[in-house]
Amino acid sequence: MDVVLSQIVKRFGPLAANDDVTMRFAPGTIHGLLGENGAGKSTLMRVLCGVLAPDGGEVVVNGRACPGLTPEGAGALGIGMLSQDPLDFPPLPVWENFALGGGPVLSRSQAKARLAAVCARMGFVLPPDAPVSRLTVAERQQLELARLFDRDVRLLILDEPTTGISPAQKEALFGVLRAFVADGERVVALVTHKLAEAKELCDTVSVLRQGRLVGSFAAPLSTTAILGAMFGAEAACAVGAVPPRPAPVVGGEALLRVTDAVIADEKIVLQPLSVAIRPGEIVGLAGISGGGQEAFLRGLAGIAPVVAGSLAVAGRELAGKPATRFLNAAVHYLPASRLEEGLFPGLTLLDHVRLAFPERRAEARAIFAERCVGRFRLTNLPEAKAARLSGGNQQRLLLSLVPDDTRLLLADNPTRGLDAASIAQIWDHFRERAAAGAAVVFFSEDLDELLAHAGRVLVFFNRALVADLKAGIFDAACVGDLMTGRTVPGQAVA
Amino acid sequence: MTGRTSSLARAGFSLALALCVTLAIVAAAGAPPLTTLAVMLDGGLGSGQAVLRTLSALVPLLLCGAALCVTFAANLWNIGVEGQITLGAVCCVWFLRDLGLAGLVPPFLAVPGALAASMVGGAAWALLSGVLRTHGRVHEIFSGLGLNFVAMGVSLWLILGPWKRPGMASMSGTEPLPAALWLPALGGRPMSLWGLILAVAAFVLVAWVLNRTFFGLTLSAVRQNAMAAERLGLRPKRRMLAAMALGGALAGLAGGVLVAGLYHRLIPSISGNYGYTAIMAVLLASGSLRFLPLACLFFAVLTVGSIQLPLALSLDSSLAGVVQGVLVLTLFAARRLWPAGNTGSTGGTRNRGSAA
Amino acid sequence: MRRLMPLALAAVLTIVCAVAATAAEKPLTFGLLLVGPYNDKGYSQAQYEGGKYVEAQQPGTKMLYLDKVNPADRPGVTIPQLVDDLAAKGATLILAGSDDMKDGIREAAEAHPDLTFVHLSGDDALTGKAPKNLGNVFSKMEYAKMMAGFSAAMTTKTGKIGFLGPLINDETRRLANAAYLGARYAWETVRGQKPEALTFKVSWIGFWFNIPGVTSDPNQVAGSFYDQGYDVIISGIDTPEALTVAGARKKTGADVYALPYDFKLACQGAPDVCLGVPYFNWGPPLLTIAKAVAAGTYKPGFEWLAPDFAALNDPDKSPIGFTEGNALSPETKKALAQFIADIGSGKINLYAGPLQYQDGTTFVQAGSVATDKDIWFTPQLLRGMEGASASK
Repeated sequence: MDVVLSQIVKRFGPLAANDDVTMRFAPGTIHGLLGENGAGKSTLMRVLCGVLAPDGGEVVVNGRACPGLTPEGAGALGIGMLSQDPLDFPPLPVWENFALGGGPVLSRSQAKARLAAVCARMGFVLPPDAPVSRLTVAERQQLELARLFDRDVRLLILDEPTTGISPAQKEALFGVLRAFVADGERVVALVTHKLAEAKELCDTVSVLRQGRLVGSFAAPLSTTAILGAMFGAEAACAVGAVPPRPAPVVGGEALLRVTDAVIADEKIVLQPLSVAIRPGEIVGLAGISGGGQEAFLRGLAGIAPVVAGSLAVAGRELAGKPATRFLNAAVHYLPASRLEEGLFPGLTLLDHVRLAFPERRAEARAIFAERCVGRFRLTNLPEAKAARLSGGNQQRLLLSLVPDDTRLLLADNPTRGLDAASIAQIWDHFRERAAAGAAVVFFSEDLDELLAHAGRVLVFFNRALVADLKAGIFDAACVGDLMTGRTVPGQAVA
Repeated sequence: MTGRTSSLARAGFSLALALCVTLAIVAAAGAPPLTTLAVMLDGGLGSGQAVLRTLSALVPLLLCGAALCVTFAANLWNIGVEGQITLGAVCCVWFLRDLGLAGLVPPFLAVPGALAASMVGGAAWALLSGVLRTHGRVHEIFSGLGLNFVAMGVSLWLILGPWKRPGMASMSGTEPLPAALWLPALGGRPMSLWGLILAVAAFVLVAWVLNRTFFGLTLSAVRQNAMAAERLGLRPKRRMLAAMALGGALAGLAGGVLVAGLYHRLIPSISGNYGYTAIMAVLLASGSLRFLPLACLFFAVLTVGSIQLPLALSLDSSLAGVVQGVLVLTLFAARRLWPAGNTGSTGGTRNRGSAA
Repeated sequence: MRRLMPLALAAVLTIVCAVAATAAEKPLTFGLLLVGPYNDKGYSQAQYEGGKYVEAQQPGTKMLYLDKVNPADRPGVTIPQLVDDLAAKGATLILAGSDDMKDGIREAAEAHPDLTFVHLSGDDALTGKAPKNLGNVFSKMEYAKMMAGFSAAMTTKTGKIGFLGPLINDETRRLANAAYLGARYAWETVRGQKPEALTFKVSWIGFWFNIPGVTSDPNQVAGSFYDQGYDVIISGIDTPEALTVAGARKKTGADVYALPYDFKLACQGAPDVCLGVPYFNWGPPLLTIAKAVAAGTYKPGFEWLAPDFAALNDPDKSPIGFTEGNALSPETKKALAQFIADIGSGKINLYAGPLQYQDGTTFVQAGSVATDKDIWFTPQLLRGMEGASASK
């Protein structure tokens, strides 16, 4: 299958998400689409699979232009997309999810037979009768892939497929993709912002920046050239520089002491765990989806209750206490979904400042100028609504709302969806906080980033804390094995 | 500025469309459409008497509208306004009967005390709903509806039982209170100036609280994102309860004004559907305080004017209800049909957000 | 006293007619407030048709009416407001149809001293609460209820009669008592049965008609009467549930009967189970009032109009009547005719003592006869009846 995107233009109001983009997906290749968040990658793929109608340009499939492409039309042509968030129905069993979503209606036995056939071909193991809610992220992805393969997809689009899965699962996925294009006819389009993945997998790479195509590269891929295209020359240097790794903190009184605590989040109850964290530490939490690291973070924040054992901050017992007591103990939490959990979309930035510092609300403007603009370089007007903020600015606003005297800062995926400059700023900020005596505990889905910035790593697997690694003795493969349960914890700690 | 003119144009368009549909239905029912409309308008605004009566219907509507705005501000659907009015009325009658009449309270304090009691009653009734929501995970729509029925039961029980008239029980209500325990009237009997003053004051107070105070800001924070409010330590549950209590107090005050200013006794269905009508008024004003008085006035005219249909035109009196219902329904439908209705600037933001 | 009433009425009528013929006043407009729907085949329709009768008999007279004047149907609407409206439309005579309008009509009368108010119910003029321009007029429905009770007791095979009562007040108590007196007379005197073999039970539903969720459901109450072996139900409420239920039971083979209330043609719902209807005939009394008001001779007071026993079902004469139902046997019809004649002639007076209330206190001493006032203010049901005398 040979697909060409020709001079695609897609506008949202004044913003051109795609501006005159032309690229070709050649048969038998894995084509990488690289770019920062907001560069226009997802928009372009949505145009390709008919979800968005382009304002200009055309999609040409096997030499024939396809005007007015719809998702159904694209499906009929053999174009299928594995989206970033799984589009499934968690309460339904696997085979029903497999049978749903277009195509002829299949009987139960037919659907199961076809599912088994696809799984055998691709090496997936999917229990047909289990509800999808019990699958891991990787398995849900496999289910989605199985469905697409069953529909005989010829151009497979994957949008950030490695988010939330382990290195080993990633290897397995890449193997499947390589097998997929091995016939020299099928095509894979891989959307990612991770250069390493693109280098490992792709035959050709196109780089988007601010909606425009800024470079196309064929294997072997050069890191410097691609980074230069993605961020511009100077940014590439900033990203390339190795951040100073915080020294492990050993002495001193513990700030946070968790003893035999059982944390019960909404859907998950963790095994009893004990850990102590000292001021100045930057602790990374590693784990795959369902491992329990997010629940642990929420437990430390007082959002998920500690139902047994003890959790003390600076000597104050907080187990079973309401979240406001945690706030009083100077524990603050930065949620992963910032707009959904942390901000008030319809309120102005100034109102956020007032709400965060109620006793100083009369000087909200001064606080805004000093903290948001001065310290965190927030570029929006104080009267702007929070809904208007970009991902980076949302995180800047949230950070500027965290009081200076915070002793324990908890962050769930603090850099998810941010551009390189914002990411660098956030890590700098965390290091400043730690240097000033606060402890920072964070979770990142990006294992490389986690290992680069954490001074200590707590690894979670299967709702339990399985390893507590001090800086210097861990590497990505070892942590990845611990996260996925391939190494028994005892070996690693030793 | 363009926003305001366009929203005015939109309101005008909806009103015109709603009127057309309503008139068509009235004509289909065999009534002269324009005359019907004229009779209703005249009945609501045509004379000094009519205006006074409209104003007296406006008082509970405005109070309940303000009450609903407070709870809407915290994202609560306070369907239980009817019950809160009823409980306010019950508490007001209780205070006047058992304390005022008995002479336990000096006369000049009896009416203010009774109004205060009605606010406490309404607030308590609303807090029941509120606590069920915050601590019992029962949505306030269901508890509110249920409590409306309970409140009606309570008032009927009092009228037919403990507070029945000497020797007999009657649906005409409890024994009327002496004039010394009434809110001073203005001009015609149905109108109490004090009721109007209280309603306007309550409305101004609510507008000030919601727009100018930190409490109002926290309510809109809770409305926008209860989870984020929780994260910031704003205690959303407590704010919700406070909003319910304030709303309930205002609705209870409406019940108190109905007793002390209009009926001078407890009657069955004393809430008079004002609670439900106020919900429609708030919806009509899209929750905006600026348009709320107008919307309340509109419903007051409609309520008062519709009684003229059977009197002046011998229309079957149920047609008045049909007219009111159709008018409101088409008004809501028409607002969605406005040509430039939903291509605002928000669309761009949403798409940009998802393009990342 | 009772025998004097028709005479007095006739006298008033002739005087009024004479005056009306001479006076050339402008046509009367009167307002009528009905508690239920104007077409309810019951209490309100009887009043509505009375008003229509006045319009027909007095050309030029105009009726303005508003139905469903009750807090459940028209929340937020008060009687004084409605009277303001009626006055604005030219009404000079206001008729309020229900006991529940007592306070409102008094308030309105005080506010409109230039208008004439007649409460078709109530006793403000009797108790002295009424202002000068407010009178009470009501008919002695008691006698029609006695006929209903008589027919029921003549027909029952089980000796168990149910009375479907509305809410509890003086009026409803005295009507239930009247029905009982008629039934007891038929049972003991005409049929010669033992007093203790007669069961007469009153069940109150809570209002004049069914309000779902507020009153007891009259269908349920009537059904449970029949289930417990009661074979005749006398309805005291304004709607025909008792008759409907009886009709349905009859279809399944049960030998049951009912007597509806208020409206002349109320038997039509289920003629084969209907023993008869005590009904209001508002035409003549309303016409009298309208003529008197138009002539300026109306003197507000407390009027309690007795039936014209000689012309009981003449639409131009008696203010109340009793329609005989199809289910009434010929023998009972004969006995009933004799009963009516005897009451009319004074041969029978069921209000003669000794009569006792439920708690054993005396209603009428032996050897004396109850006065109108004794009857009007009835604090209890009579001894021998089952059911509550007061709401709990």
